[in-house]
This record gives sequence, structure tokens and C-alpha cells, in this order.
Amino acid sequence: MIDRTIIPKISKINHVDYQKPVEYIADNGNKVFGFYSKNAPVIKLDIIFNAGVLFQSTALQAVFANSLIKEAPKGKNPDEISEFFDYHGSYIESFISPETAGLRLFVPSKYYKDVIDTFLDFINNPDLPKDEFEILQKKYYEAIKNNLMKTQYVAMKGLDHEIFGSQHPLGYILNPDDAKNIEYPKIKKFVRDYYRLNNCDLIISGDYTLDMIDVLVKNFKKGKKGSEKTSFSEHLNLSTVSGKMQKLRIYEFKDAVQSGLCAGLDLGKPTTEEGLVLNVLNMVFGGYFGSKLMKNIREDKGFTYGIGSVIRETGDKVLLKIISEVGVDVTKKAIDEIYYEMDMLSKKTISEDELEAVKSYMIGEILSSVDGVIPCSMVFEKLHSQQRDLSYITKQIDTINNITPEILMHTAKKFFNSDKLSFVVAGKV
Amino acid sequence: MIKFDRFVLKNGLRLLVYQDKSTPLVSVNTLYNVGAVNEDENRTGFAHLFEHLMFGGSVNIPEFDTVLQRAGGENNAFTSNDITNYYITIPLQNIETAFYLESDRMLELAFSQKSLDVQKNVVSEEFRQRYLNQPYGDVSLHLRPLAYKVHPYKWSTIGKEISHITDASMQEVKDFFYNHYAPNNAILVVAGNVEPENILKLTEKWFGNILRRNVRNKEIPIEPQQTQKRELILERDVTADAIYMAYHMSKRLSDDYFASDLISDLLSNGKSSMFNKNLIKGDKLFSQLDAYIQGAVFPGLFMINGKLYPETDFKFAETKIKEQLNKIIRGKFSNRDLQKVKNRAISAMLFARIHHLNIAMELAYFEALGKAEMINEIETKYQQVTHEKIVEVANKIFRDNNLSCIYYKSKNKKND
Repeated sequence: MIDRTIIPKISKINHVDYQKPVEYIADNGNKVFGFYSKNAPVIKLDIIFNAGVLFQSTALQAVFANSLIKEAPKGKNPDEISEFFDYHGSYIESFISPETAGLRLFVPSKYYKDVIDTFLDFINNPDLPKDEFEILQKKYYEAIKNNLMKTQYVAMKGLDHEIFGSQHPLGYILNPDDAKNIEYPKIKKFVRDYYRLNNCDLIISGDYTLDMIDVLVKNFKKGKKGSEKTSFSEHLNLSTVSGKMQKLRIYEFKDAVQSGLCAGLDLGKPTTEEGLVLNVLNMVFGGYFGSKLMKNIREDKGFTYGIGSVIRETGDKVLLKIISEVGVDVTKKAIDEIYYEMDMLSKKTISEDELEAVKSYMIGEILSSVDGVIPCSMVFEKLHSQQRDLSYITKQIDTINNITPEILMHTAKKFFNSDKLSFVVAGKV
Repeated sequence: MIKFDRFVLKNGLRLLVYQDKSTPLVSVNTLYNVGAVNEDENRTGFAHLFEHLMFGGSVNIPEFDTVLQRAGGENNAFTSNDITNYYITIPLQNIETAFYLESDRMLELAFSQKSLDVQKNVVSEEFRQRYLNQPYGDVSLHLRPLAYKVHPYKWSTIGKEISHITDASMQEVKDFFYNHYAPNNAILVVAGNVEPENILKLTEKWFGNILRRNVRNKEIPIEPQQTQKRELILERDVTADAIYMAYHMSKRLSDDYFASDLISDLLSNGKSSMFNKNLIKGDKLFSQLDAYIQGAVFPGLFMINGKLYPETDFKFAETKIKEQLNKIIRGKFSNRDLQKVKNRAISAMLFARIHHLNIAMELAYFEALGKAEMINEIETKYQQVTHEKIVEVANKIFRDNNLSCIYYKSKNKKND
């Protein structure tokens, strides 16, 4: 009979293998990054521009450009184009972040050569069909109205407003009229300025061949000479705009049964090494199911279905954000518990036991994030948008392996200053 | 072709093993053949509440998550009307930890009163978060009982009302466990860089001594055929009117299933779909309009839902949707249209199967439906659907006396 009181031996995982991309460099210096695997007969191709929300000068400009660019290239009928991609089992997604924006093609390998020219044509010969623009305006008008009824959405946007202020592209809270007022020429201009072949990188992953790479590299030659990549720090002096970060801001929803609850903390300017430690500290605080916040506020008190924290590097800020939805009757109590958990990290070292669990969990999570070329390329893309490469993973693992409860407490003392926490509640307190 | 090995233990536990040599991780998926369909009408939401309790400690392991985290593993679970599915991904070196954890909670839970009390609260908050505090969130709570009068699909997995969860007693929890959580009511799938014989040995070691249990599944009543259209008007504090149409359709294992899936794709999968081309872009009647099916063990629902622009009224919206349905009924779509949706369905399947966890879940689900080998028949099943079959199935489904419809009215609607 098996003795179930004995836990099977656990092997410590202290390194992670990941696939590095092969870099193919075009004459103009642009790159195609390749993550090859023949495991599945599929290909993913990302075209990434420095064309995120930070570059826009008016509300919705970046997201409209990002959405419309995939409707049809110049001289083509949008209905025929969408039928063409659909018929070839292809899925095109547009994606946007504060820094970058782009298009992502998912295609079975056998159809890749059928669709690639048309896909590249979105970028080579962009057109923004006016009809599609008007439909997008209508859809956004309705979607914004609906979003403003959601407590979680309002709390999240309200927090960005506290952090960045209304003059900042990320701090501005959309209202439905923004969709009515956006001007078509401004979208066209945005595409001209930022969706340029000289302003992008390509990532191809999956079952590709070298002649496919050749086509992608040569395609860069179609770009205009002389223009450089854009950078948001030159484009916008972000340090001149900022929010007020009040201690508590309430957006009242009188019929809400739960409050959207968000909190933010400006972490200042941590060094790279401090940033790697902060990632571990965040994991302890609210980064996983066994975190302080989850254990206390969900698993002990039952105030919420979920609570978590993340560290976001956005524009020129490094931020800690806490996100939850809690019963309206316990919103105040949940806020108190968040303060308590944050303060405790500066006052008391966590146990070796707890730290071991966090270390193993984090390395397992990293292992999982690079399990296969498509997930690996997604991690690469995110790091690339932060001007990093995959060696960041190795640095993170080294930090995890060498961290101690004392280092965490020291970091908490330096960065987790709960006096500066800013709470936003959409609901009731 | 997905190759796998199947073993059945003496206690009835079915084990499937799929080899994927490319990954350093392993997926361990445990499916229990119990869902909301097995609940008592006065104790709904129980299968889902139970899913939460499965993380609240088992007989020898006070904290499931802590042990798993130490081994570098991640886990989650979901409950549907038909099944409850638990999954772990873990570095291969620590695979035995997953067996230790899953087998102990199959053996017996800790049945801690504290865990029950807390999870009642957590699930109540989940109920509020997903169903009560979201615009349009309560639709399924009303649509299911409109479409089903007898069959237990008439309630959602979250339950009919919060009190069913908050009133649950420890004895009921124990009864539910011993009635449904048993090796002979479970399917274990392991996917990763593993050898089937080794996995069988591990399974025998950890699960082999758990005794077979007397699984008590109550008889599931058959839903009588609907004879007339059902309508319900809900008035809520939302920004736009919305329409929800539910037609009864076949069960997952029927020959009609794949045709139904392709019909929903013809209507709304992709930008070139009929709804998008004709009603969202063309007539500009809806800001959003979707069609999808429920792949349910018992006959499920073919769902259509749309958000109306302020200038669109319900009657016109419904008429225009039915015009599109009638095109399919009359066979007014090309063979290329049909091939297009087949290509998309197969492509989506290829992308989903990149990850071993998805394959593990699919294998478990097909085994629960009857046999895991069905995983390799999907592509052929889609390809075999003919133009005539689509027309035949559309004629069966899209009848007014088979329709339940919710008109979700905005209290705030202004014609602006």
C-alpha cells in the first residue's frame, strides 16, 4: 500500500531552454526574426510597427488605424479580400499596445504562399476604406457606451487617468462622442507616418521555408529610403504630463453589486536588476494563485472571485497595478487588506518555504511561456517592444535562483510605499 | 493523426497517453463525468461549487496549490453542463507530484468546513461578477429556462440562484463527492515526452488502490419537442437593445452536429460571413451579431445573438436575421462558401492542437463522449458535410416553433 504521507521528491528546476530566433537582416537594417518548428503544419507571421497608442495625437487614432489597415489594400474590394483570407483558413488579428501595433497572420502552411502577397500588400499599399471607417465609428460609439457601464472597465481606465492625467494618450477616458468626432484624414496621416516598411520588424514562426524568408526580406526594399524608425520618447515628452494620483477616487454606480477595484503605485525608475527583483516581489504580493492578496482576500475572506497584481512598464513609467472586483459591502475592507499586505512585505521577511514555492512556480511559468515556437515568439515580441531580447529570461531566472527573503524585504521597503498607493473604485465604498 | 495509448485500470479508471517529444512539460488532465446536468433542481450550481472545493485540500494534502507550485506546476479547472475537467501542466521531472495530488483528491477530500464556507463566498462573488454585475450578464439565466422546460440544461452551471450555493451543507457536499467522484467515472489523460508504460506504472501506483464507487446518476429527463415560439422581454439598464435567439439542435454525437457547426460558421465566422457582410456592414443594423452552437452531450442550442443599433427595432432585426437563415434553408450559398467554412474549421483545429494540453483535453472529452479515437475523425467529418446536408439540417433547426427568443430592451435607449 502506498504511503500517501510522503510527498514525491521534487526536482528543482533552475534553468529553462528556449529557442532563440534566427535573424535575417534586410539591406535597410530591418529584421525578420524566425522561430522554426516542423511540429505542426502552421505558420504565424507578425508585422510589428512602432505605432502604439503613445504615438497618437487624438483619441482613437492609433486603434482605428490598426483596425482599418487590415480591411483592404489599395485598389482591392474589402469583401473580396476578407473572403480570400477566410477561404484559405487564415485568421488576421490586429494588435496594439502603448508602444507597438501590428498585424498577425495565422495560416496553415499549405496556404501560406497563396496569401502572403496580399497580406504584405496591406502594408505595401495601405488603403483605409471610407465605408469601413464609418462602420467602425458606429461600432465604437456603441462599444464605448457599453464599456462605461462596466465597473471593471471604469475602474481600470480611472486608474490610468489618475496615473497619466487626461492630456496623456493612456490617461484619457474615452467617451462615445470621440468615435463620432475622429476625423478620417487623421487616421490616414497616422498610417502614413507610422505604418511604414522602415518602421517595422517581422516575426515568423512555425513550419516556414527559407524561400519564404527571402520574400519577406526583399519586401523591405519596397519601403522609402531615408526614413528612420520612430520612437515614442522623441515623439512625446511624456514626463511633462502626469495625473494626480489621489488616494481614493470613486466613480459611483448606484445599482452595482460589486465594485471594480483598482490600485496603482508609481515605482519610479528601478534599475534592470531591481526590476527583476520587483517581478519576484510582485509574484509574492499578487502575481499568482498562492499570492498574499489571493490567500487573504479570496481564500481566507471570500471577498472576491479574483484579485491580482502586475508590474507594467508603460511609456516612461514603471507601475504596480492591483486589479479586482469585490462585493460592494466589503470594498472598504478589501482596500484595508491590500494596504495591510503591502505594508507587511516591508515589515517582515517572508518564510523560506513561501519563497521556495514562488521560485518554483515562477520558473515553471517561464518554462510554460516558452513551450513551443509560437508561445516563444509571443514572449520575444513582448520583450522586443521593450527593447529587450530573450536573454532577459535568463537574467530573470538567475535573479529567481539567487533571491532571498531579505532582498525581497529590502526591495519592498524601497519601492512598495503604500502611502503612495492610489485607489480607484467604480461601484460603492 | 494523433496517436495515443489507452489503458483501463481494474477500478475502472481510463488512462490515455499521448506522446509529444518536443516539450519539457507534461499535461495531466482529469475529467470527471459529472456536470450541472447531474444536479438536483433544488441544489443547482453544485458541480461548479464542487470544482472549487477540489482545491480546498484532500485527505492527506492540506493545500493542493502549494504542493503544485513547489513542483513548478500550474493548474485550473472548468465545469460545464456535462463534465468537470481539471488540468495540470508541470515540468516533466516532477510529473509524479501531479499523480500524487490528483489521486489524493480522487481518494477523498478533506471536507473542511472553513473551505466550504469560503468557497461559498467566492462562488457567490463569481455569480455576481459574471452574471449580475455585467451588462447583459443575466441572459443565460433566463434563456436556458425559456428553451428547456424539463431537461437540466434549463439551468446554468453557476446555478439558478445564489441561495442554492450558500445553503449547501457539508453532508450534501460529501454525498456529491461519493456519488460522482470515482475512478470508474473519470478519465485521466497524460500528454508530453513520456513513455506509456511508465505512465501506466505511475497510474497503477497512485490511482490503482482507489476503490470503485457506486456512481449514482439520476435519470435525465428528455426535453419534449417545442411546439410554439417562446418569447421573453427583459428590460434592463443597458445601452443598447439586444436580441437572443436559441433554436434546439442535435446532440454532439448526431450526424447533424458538424453541419450545424458549419451553418453557424457560414452565418458568422469571419469577416466574409453572411451576418457580417449583409447585416453588420451592408444594412448596418447591428453593432455585433454572432451565431454559435453548444456542443452538448444532450441536444443543445443553436444560438444567435446581436446588439442592435438605436435605429433598428426588434421586429426588423429578427426579420432580417431570418432572411439570412432562409438563404441557407433554400440552399442559397455556393460550394465555395461551404469549402471556405470547412477550411476555417480545420485550420482552427490545427492551431488549437499545437499545444499538448489542448490535445489532452480533447482526448479526454472524446473519450467521455464515447471513444477518444473520434479525435482523428473530425477533419473527415467536416469534409463529408454536403450542400444538401446543410440545407437539410438548417430546415430542421430554423423553425419558429423551435425558437426561444429574448428581447433585451434598453431602458436608456435614445435615438441619438
